[in-house]
Amino acid sequence: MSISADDLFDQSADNIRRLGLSEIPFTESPIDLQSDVLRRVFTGRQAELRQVFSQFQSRERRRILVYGRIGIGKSAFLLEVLSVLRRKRPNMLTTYISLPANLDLATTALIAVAQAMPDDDYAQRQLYQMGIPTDKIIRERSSKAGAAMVFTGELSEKDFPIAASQYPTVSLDRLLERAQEQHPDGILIAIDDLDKQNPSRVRQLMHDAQGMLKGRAWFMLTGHPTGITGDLLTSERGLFDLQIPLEELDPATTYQMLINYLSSARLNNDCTDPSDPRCVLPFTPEAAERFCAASMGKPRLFNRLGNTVLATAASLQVDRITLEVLQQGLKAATPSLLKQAALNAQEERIRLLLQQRGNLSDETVTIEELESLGFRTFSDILPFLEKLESADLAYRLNQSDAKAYAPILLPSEDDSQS
Amino acid sequence: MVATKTVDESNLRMEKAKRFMLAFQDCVRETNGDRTKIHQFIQANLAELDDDFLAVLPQVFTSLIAEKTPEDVAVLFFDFGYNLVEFPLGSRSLNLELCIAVFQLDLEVYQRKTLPNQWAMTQNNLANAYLERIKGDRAENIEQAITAYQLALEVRQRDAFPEKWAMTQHNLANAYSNRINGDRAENIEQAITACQGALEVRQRDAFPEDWAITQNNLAIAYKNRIKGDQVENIKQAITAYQRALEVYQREAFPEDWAMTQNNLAIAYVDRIKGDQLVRDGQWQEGLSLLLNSVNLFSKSDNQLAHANALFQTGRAHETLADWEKAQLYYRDALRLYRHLDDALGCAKSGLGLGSVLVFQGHLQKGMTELATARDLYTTLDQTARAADADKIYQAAQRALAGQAVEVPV
Repeated sequence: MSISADDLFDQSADNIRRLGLSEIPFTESPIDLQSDVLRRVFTGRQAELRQVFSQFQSRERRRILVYGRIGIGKSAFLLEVLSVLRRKRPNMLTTYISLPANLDLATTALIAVAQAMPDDDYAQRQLYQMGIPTDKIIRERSSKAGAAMVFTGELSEKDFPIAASQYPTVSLDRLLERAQEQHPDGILIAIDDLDKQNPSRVRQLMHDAQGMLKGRAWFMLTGHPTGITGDLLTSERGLFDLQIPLEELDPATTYQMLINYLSSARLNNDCTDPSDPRCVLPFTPEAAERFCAASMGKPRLFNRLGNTVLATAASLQVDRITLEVLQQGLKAATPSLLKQAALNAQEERIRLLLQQRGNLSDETVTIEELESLGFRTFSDILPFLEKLESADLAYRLNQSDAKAYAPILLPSEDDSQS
Repeated sequence: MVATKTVDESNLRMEKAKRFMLAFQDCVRETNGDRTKIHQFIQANLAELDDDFLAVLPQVFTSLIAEKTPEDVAVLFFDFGYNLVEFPLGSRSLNLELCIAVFQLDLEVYQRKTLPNQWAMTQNNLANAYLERIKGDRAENIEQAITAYQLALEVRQRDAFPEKWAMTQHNLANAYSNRINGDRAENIEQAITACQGALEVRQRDAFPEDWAITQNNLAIAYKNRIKGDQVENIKQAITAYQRALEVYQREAFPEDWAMTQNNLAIAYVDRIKGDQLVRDGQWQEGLSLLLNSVNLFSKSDNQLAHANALFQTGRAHETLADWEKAQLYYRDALRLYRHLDDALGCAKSGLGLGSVLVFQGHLQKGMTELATARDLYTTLDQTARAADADKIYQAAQRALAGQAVEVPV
């Protein structure tokens, strides 16, 4: 008997409901979360938040850098700060943007601020000029009062040709001046994902943006530790008032994060008390602890594994995630991560060597091993290791005297059930 | 009895060497002087070239002169030296000794009064061999080279032989740049003057490659200049490197391109060290050039050049206080230098790595590297560098013992 697609959909929803959840709450991308959901699931980082918020008690504008390895939760941290500020500082304009490829910081900031000012003609015109869709139809206006007072004289309108902003820093400054009139508590521009760019490009971007960063707005930036920190630019020129490193979450915080995520989607109880076993349902407390250990305090890995484990439990049509179910979920994770990573032959060879060796470090790797991979230097294979790290197939060991990577070892089909 | 045997053996060696030289003459004739084919011939007969061969060369020369005309023998010996000086295989040290020997023998035939052009050409080539000589006292070898270049220039006057004059000026500049004796600052001034002289003849339109090579060497001289304003000197160096790169296109001259990129990058980094221009942000250009050269050498067979580029990239990162990257590149350089058995490379990259580790507070690991570097420098008789390594080692040791000391960098 064939089942209709509608029935299949219902079955799938039933499988999640069987686990006591309305949906799978885990997500790799915090930007997808609604503010109130983020508020519920965001966990820990209290010391870091305290440091950031104390900066906001100052009248003077500040520049804050949040840095850490890929998948450590920089974007979620940034969004949480913005979410709090929106509640606590309604007169502050808060904007968020992910740094687009091949764009300088001034233009990126200009886009972010302009998009946050939908009712401002000048802002919308900036977007329109850059070819970014706006809600309103923009017409070119020329002023009889002179070029320096474009908006104050008598205006006539005609169709406006699309052209990129030639002087983004000047345009941004002008826009910020206008924004300040409406937002007396200031303007915060949060630029995320600097770590998705080449580190040397990031350095150049920062260098070119010094004037802008010291201008009218508050800035929060996120980046890779080696991309922005530890060079002359940031350390000697005082580009940032505060640099916050984000590290892995400790086991207790990771456990609490699991509680918060599950509680945000649970149907019949919203227990968040860690001492109550119901707080981690549908996980059993043992399975929850094992799950947290497997995610190594890395928020993105936590979310990726969470997705796979819940999907596996749903497909098994169970109502509890026991150690056995968890084991099956984790076994499904590596193939899923590999599929997502879509490694090429070279990357796969390096992954296999990493697994075989247990770790790879610039201190201990031999020239023979490098040559077996077709290279002569560790710096040549480093981008591949970073790719494995971003795919959650490897992680960087916490070792400051060497660059050392280890594989993320999840149970495989070959392992016996624990 | 024993004496007779020795004479016989010596004659046998002489006859063998003579046969080789005659076969070489045939090869040059048959191949019409094709250097690749001549190199193949030398490679096939590499076993013939040894200390015995070197020892009997004067006898071979005399013996051949008795059979042929002196000019023919001189041409044969010149061809041999000319082709051997850039031959990449066998013992480089022995090859250069052979070159010196044949050019010196040639000078017995090529007399200044009778054959001035050949005499000057041989002096020029003899000087080239002395400049690269491995055996003997390096300072003295360079002096010999300078003397020979200057003798060549007495005949190769600018008005009569502008191109030859420019070539020897270029070589003389190279010798002055490397000179150990005399006042270093003055030597570099001489090098700059000679390069500038050569460039008056080696114009870009007419001799683009020669022009580029001399620009590259002029840049090196400016980079090392002691006199004058340091920032201005580095600016001149950068300009000259950039000019060289106009000719050294990546596709056509990959190795020269990479080498000059590398030199240019070092100049940029030196510019940073020059303090005043730190804030120009040109360190970024320097670094990206260095990384370009690392990338290119990583694909070439020139592993030593690759190791050198890695070392310089490490040093640039150290200058820019990017300790993590400095560590990474110093380690890569060290690993490759070890693989190549290059003691000086191991010493300098070990010193760099050790300093960076100590500076970061990894005292034990840093001290291990520094001790190895210090010992290597000592073995290499570079006492000043050994003392540098030891100074940081001692400071790290005191820091380890809990004393509050400032680590010199």
